[in-house]
Amino acid sequence: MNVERFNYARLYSRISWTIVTIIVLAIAALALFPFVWMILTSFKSAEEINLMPPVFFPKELLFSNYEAAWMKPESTFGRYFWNTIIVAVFGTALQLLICIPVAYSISHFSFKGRGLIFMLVVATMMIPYDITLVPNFVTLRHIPFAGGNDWMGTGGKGFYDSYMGIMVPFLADAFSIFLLRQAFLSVPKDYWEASQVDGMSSFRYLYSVLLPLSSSSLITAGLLSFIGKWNAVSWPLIITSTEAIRPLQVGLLYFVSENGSNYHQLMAAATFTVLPIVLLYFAAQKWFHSGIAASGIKG
Amino acid sequence: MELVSSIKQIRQQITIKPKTSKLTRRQAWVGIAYALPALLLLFIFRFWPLVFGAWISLWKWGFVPEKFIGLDNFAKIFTEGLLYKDMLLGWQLGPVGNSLMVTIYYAIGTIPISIFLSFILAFYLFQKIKGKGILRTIFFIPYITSQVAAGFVFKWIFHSNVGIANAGLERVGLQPQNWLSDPDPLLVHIARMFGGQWPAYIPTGFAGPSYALIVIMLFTIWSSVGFNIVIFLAGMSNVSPELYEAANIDGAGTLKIMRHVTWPLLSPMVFLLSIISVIGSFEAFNAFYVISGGDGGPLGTTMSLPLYIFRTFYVHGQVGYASAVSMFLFVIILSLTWIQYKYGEKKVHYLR
Repeated sequence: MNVERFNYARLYSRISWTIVTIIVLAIAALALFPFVWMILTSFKSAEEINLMPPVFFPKELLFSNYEAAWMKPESTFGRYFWNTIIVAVFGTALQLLICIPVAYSISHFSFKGRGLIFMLVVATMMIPYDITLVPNFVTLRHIPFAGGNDWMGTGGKGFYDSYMGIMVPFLADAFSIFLLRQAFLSVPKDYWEASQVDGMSSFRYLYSVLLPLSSSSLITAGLLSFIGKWNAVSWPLIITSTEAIRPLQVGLLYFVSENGSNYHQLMAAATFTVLPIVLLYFAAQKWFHSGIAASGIKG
Repeated sequence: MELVSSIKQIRQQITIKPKTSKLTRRQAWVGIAYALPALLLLFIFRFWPLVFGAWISLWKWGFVPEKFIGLDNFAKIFTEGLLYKDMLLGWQLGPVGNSLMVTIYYAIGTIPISIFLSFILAFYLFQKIKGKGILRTIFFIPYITSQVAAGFVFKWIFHSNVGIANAGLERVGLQPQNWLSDPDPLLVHIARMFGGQWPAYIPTGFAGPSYALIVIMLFTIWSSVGFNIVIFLAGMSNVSPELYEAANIDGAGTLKIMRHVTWPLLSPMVFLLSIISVIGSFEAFNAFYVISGGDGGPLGTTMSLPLYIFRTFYVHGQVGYASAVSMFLFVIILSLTWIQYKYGEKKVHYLR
């Protein structure tokens, strides 16, 4: 009797679990579908994409869409890729260069106003991005001595339409600072005290002890910053005006406005825009999750 | 002996004390120097914009400052931006009011679904199952995917003539829709379906989201679930397994455990995510820009507040007015966050 009841409960839970699994798999399929559809469309011919109902698989894999999409902008997509790579690589390097010292400062040095600095950093997370757009645009146009400006910041275009203009407002990033501070705090305080007793300079301690010991957080901060810069749209759209500076995402927007809706080519362009980040994700998966999880712990 | 030690002490005090204070003073300066570059940038590009933006909003400011007009831009928001009285139609939503409604629909339509769905998916992924890693990856990748590229894919899926969404609808015998070009809001469609009509004296801005806005909501849910799942998973791994065992021994089924153990224990995560998502909703720009083609259409039904600010500034060159509207948005975001802290915090169960 007892045994039978036990089996019944097990069967019941197994059935409900199977149903849940099927639902989850269906949701996963839906989540994956846009990617599948993007890639399939990118291989179709112009006739195939205009069929209704649509055919699921292309009759033959046409790589010509990729070629056509790549060649469409005046200077080819290579230019946009190059611009994005410069902004993402240099931007990330500069961002770390600026965020590491401040994180070091608020985690290892004691001085009046240290708490205030940390508070100010965290407070910037509360300032909405959209509010800073207009003032930052005006500020960047009037950076003295940049882009033909005089010392009053007038006469030229400042950082408008330049790599610096795209990067500079986001170099001091509250989240990176926060992440690095956490990592630095988790390094045992004894090392720091020992280094002080030995008379090691604080800079030497930073690069020979602290940074190697917090390498995984460093990579996480770097990766998240890189992806953020790779995918950024609205700011680069505002601050750039020429093809020579325009990054990939903005280039993709212009691709549509200039070529209309050639969706097979557009999907090819979308594919090669997305691909590098997806590959990066697969190569560095574990750092991503720990990084995002850290952003949850802060709350 | 005693004398010797006390002399020693005094000596130590004399020799070491000034030395340490000099050292700490030096240390303090070094610390401040390390913080300086970041602080400078934060002041110029984060705090200064608040002051400068408020200043710009007091001007009639095209591409150069033209005239100081005091609070006129703000007066404009309240006299014609939010609501205005039309001679024929009566009270109508102004552009700012319309954008505010769009943003509110968007927040209501995305946040609860996204958080709830991610909670269930995270709960599933937290169990010992095969293929966990692959599933987690599938849900996470949309979050790091370029929103421009993905937005175009959604546009393509919901294409009115040859989109696969309409093909699917036709397959199951439903009417295909002009997803991205039909300006009628949801409630107008529903009213029509039952043979009725939306009452003319209520502005259609109050009749719910248009299909295009619903597509944007789907997009947002799709792209945000992965982030929420990772946060929930981190929270779940902090819950001690004994709690589950205890619940199991008490005979609680999976559903009961989910509702009465996991959900309350994860309430700090829910709280955090809802704050992040509300702020995110009021800052949403990319999906709106890409899917509407940049103009917030059809008929402004996908003109989120940030998109409206962007267009006022970038397309129409009204820098002063755009600043005033962003100050208005800032006040909204701050008050919403404050309300959430005030009333949400009480419902959070912290594990101590």
